[in-house]
Amino acid sequence: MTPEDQVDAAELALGLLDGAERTTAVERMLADSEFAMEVAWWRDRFAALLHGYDPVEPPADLLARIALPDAKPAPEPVAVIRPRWSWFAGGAAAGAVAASLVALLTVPKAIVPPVAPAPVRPLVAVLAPTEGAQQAPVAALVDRRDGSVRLTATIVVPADRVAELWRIGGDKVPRPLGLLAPGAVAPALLKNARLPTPDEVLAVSIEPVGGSPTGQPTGAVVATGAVVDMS
Amino acid sequence: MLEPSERPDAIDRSARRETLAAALVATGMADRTAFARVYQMSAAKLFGVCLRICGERQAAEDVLQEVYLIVWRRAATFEPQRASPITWLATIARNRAIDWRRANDRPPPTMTEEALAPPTERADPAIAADEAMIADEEADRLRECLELLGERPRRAISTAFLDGLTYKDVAQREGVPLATMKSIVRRSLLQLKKCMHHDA
Repeated sequence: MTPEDQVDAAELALGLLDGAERTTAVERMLADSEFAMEVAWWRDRFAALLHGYDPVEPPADLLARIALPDAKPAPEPVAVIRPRWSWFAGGAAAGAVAASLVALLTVPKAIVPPVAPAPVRPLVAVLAPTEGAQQAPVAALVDRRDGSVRLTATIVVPADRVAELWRIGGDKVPRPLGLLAPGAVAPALLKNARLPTPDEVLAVSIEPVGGSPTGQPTGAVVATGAVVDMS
Repeated sequence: MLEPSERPDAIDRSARRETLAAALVATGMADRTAFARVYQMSAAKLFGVCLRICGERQAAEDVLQEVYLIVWRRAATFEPQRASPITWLATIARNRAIDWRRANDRPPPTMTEEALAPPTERADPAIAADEAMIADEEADRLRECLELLGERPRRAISTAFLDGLTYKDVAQREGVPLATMKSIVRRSLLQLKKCMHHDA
C-alpha cells in the first residue's frame, strides 16, 4: 500500500467519492483485498466521529410504530380454517375466505422508505481468529454479482486438512458455503446459491479433505466475523 | 483526585454501555422487551443521526423505523467484545440515512451552526451519556490527530462524515474549486494516517 493507496481507501471509507470514482474504488476493493482491508481500517477509525451527532428526541409514538416481524415461523391458518368453511363455501371461495383471514392475521409490514438497490456493493466480513487459533485476522469479500468470495490472507491449514467456509444465520445453524483452496487468495465461488446477508456471520472451520462429512463443522472453527454491507 | 476511570460519570458510562450491549445481545435472541430497551437507550442518538443526514423530519422518522427493523434482524451478529453497541447502532443509522438521501436524490443538509464552530468550542464535559459511550482511547486518538490538521481540512473531514457529503458537496460548501478541495483533503488524510500510526 503506497500512501496514495491509503488515501484512496480513506476517501472511499469517508464517503467522499461519487459516480464513476466511487464505482472504480468499489471495484478495486473487490479485486484488491489489501485495499479492502485498508478501507475497513479507515471505517473503524472514522466511527469515532459518530460522537459528533447530537441526540434529538424522536416522537413519543415512534417505538409503537415499529412493526417487528413475528419471530416464530409464519402461522399456517389456512390449513386450520379450510375444513371449517369448505362445506358451505366450496373450493375457490373457501380459499378466498381463508386468504382474507390470513390477511387479517398477518402482521402489517412497516412502511419503509424505498432504498435503491446497489448490487455492486460488496459484502465484507472481517474474520477474527478464535481463541487459541494460530491464524491472523482475514477479511472476506463477497461479490454479490457472481457469488465469489475472496479472502485477504490464507487460512492456516494442517497438511491433510482443508478450510471450509460457513454461513450462520439467525437460527445459529451453520450452512456450508464451500471449501477454500489451500494457499490461495484467489476468489472461490460460493457453491451455495444463497449469498450470505448482512444479518449473518461467516465462519471458517478446519475439516478433513473433501470438506465436512456431516454438513456441519466437525473440526476447529478458526475464525468468525459478522457480514457487513460496505456502503 | 480520582483516576478518570473511577469518576462516577465514567462508571455510569461504562454501566450504560454494558446495559445496552446486554440488551442488544438479548435482542439477537428475539427478546422484544430487550429490543424496547435498546430503543429507549439509543433512539435519541440515532434520530439525531437520521435527522442530520436526511435533513427532513418525516424522512428521518421513516428511516429511523427502518433502522430499528434492521437492528431487530441483525442484532444476533452484534459482538460485544468487538464493537461498542452505540457505534454499531449509529453506523447502521448513518448508512441507512445516506442510502435514503442517495436513493431519493436529495441535496445534502445545509451547514449547521455547530459545523461552523471549531470542535473545541463544544461543551465537551457535558456530552450526553449516550455519546460518551462511544468514547474510548482509539476515538480519542482520531480526535487528537484531527486537531493537528488545519481548520478547513478538519471541518471538511468531519462534516463529510457527519452530513454524508461527497467531495463536490464539501467544495461547494467551502466555496473552493473541486480540485483544490480534493488536494486539501487528500493531504490531510495522509497526515491523519501518519498521526494515527504514530503510536499505534
